[in-house]
Amino acid sequence: MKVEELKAFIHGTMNYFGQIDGTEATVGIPYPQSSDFLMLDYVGAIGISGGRKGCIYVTATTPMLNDLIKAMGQEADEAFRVDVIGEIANNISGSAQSSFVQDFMISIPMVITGKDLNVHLPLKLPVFIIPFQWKNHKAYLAVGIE
Amino acid sequence: MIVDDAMIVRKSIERFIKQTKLEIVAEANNGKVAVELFQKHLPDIVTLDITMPELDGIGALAQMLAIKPSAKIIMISALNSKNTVVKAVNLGAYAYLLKPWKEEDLAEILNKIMGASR
Repeated sequence: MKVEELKAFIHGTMNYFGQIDGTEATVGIPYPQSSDFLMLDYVGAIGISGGRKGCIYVTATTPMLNDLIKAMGQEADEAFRVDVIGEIANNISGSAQSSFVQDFMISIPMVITGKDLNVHLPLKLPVFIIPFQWKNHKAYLAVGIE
Repeated sequence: MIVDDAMIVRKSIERFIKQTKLEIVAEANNGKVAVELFQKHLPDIVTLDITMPELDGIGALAQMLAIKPSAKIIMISALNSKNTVVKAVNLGAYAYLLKPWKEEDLAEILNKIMGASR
C-alpha cells in the first residue's frame, strides 16, 4: 500500500466523525501488525475487491457507539450499535475510493460482536493498524489491502 | 421513500423528512424490497443507498426509473468513486449525496425538487 492510500483512510476516519457532530477523530501513528489483531466490543468489516483486494475493519467499544448514536439523535440499542459500526466501516472505505488509482468495490458491512472471538478476516498483509480517538473513546481501524 | 440497509441511516433521514411537508410512503432495507415497494407506492422522491444486499442501489435505480421515469431519485452513499457517481447520474439519478450526509444539502435538493414541481 502506498502512503497516500493509507492517508485516504486516515482522512476518511477523521472526516466521518467530524461530520457527525463537528468533533473530528484524532488519529494516532499507524503501525504494521501481522497477527493478534485487536478487536473491541464491535467490529465492522468491509471486503475490498476488484482493482484491489483485501479488507478493512473498524473496532470500537459499546460506550463509543452509544455516544455516536446519541450524536445522531437516536436512543442507543444493540440494533443501532450494529448498524453504526457497519456504517463507520462503510463510510471510511467508501470515502477512500477516490484516492485509489484502481477502482475497487466494497462489500456490504459484516459486523462481529463480542470479545475474544477467533475470526478470520481476509486482510492482506501487511496490515496497518490506525489507532484513533473520538471524544474520550479509543478505537482502531485496520487496513489490509494488497 | 427511504432506502438504506442501515436502520440508523433510515431513522436519521426519516427524522429530517418529518420536518418537511413530505410524506414518507415506504422504507426498505435492500434494493429488491425497495423496487417492490416502489412499484406499489410509486413515490415522487426516493433517497437510495447503493451498497445494499439482494440488489444494490444502482440496480434498483434503473428498475425504479423504468417503472416511473419522473421519479426524483437521490443517491445517498458512502461510495466516493467517480465511476459510481457517473454511472448513477447516467442512469438518471437526480442527485448524489455522500455519506455522512448533511441536512442542509438534502434540504437544498428537496427544495429544488419541490420548487420545480410547483
